[in-house]
Amino acid sequence: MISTPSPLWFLDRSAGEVTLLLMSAVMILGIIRSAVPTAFPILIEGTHINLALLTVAFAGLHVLGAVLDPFARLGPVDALVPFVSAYRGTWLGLGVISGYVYAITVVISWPARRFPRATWVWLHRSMYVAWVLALLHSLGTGTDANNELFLLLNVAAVVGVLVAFLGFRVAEGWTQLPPVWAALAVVAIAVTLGIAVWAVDGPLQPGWARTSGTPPDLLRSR
Amino acid sequence: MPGPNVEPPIPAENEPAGAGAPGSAPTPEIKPWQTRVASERRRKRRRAADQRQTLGQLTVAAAVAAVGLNAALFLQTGIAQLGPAGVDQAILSVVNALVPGTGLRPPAQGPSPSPGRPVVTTGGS
Repeated sequence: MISTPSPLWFLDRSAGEVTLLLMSAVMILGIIRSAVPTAFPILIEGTHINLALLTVAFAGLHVLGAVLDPFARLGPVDALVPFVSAYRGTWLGLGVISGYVYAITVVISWPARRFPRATWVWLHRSMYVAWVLALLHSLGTGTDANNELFLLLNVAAVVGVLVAFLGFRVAEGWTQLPPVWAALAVVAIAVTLGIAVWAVDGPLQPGWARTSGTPPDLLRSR
Repeated sequence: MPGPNVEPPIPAENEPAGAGAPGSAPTPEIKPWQTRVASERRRKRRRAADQRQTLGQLTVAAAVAAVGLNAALFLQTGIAQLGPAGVDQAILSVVNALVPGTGLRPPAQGPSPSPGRPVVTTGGS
């Protein structure tokens, strides 16, 4: 039985973190594009699309690393079916669902937009769900939730998306429907604070590896 | 009959309005608003071209940064879990798996002891 982490295990973790950061950058650019459509439209939309495709590449690397790595004994079924994995099943499952939701937002938009505009906009907004799920997956499954560098990058990603949402999207929407956008701003801040409190109370506490559902033999080998 | 969306002709740059080749039919007079529209259209086209160029550079920079960050995080996770020597070993095992027969080995930990008799030194200031 293999008890030592392999380079693929490290690749899985590093590519996962880069995927979350790229997803956050895609979110920020998408928020700016929808709030200020006249500001550098080609540059912002083009970067939004290109980074979204780069995210797919790194997500693929993340999944490939996880499936090929022998340490956590994850297989294709774990990567495709949510909540069936023996290794931190709940938190891994959130990552699988996030991947599917993200795939939907990409497929309906690239290489060309599908569906009428109103339908497309609502489907595209599911990216917010994909991003929150990816963040929960990163903190919950992440072996590196306590690693200072990973934590710093995660905080930067969350702050960046929140500031872009409040500073561009809410500020722009406020001029038309203040109550709706005030409510959305409150929801965004509440979700962020909720995740922060949960992270401090859960993934950042010692013993999270056991609580999150790591198989006992892997706990001994780490 | 042209519809309302038909664009007016764009006068060539540095060409005075109404100028045509000698002997050809006289070109219709270009009105000042047409010159303004044409100039605005040229400016928009230039701006779009600039944005496309910046987009290409930005995309390449983002891809390079992502790959670099991935490498840095890879090393960070490895060092945090295995220590620097363990990372050396892990990278070498990957290299050896990809390119068999390289014979790469991690460096020795320190100089090996001399096999001969110890040299006795005497004196000195």
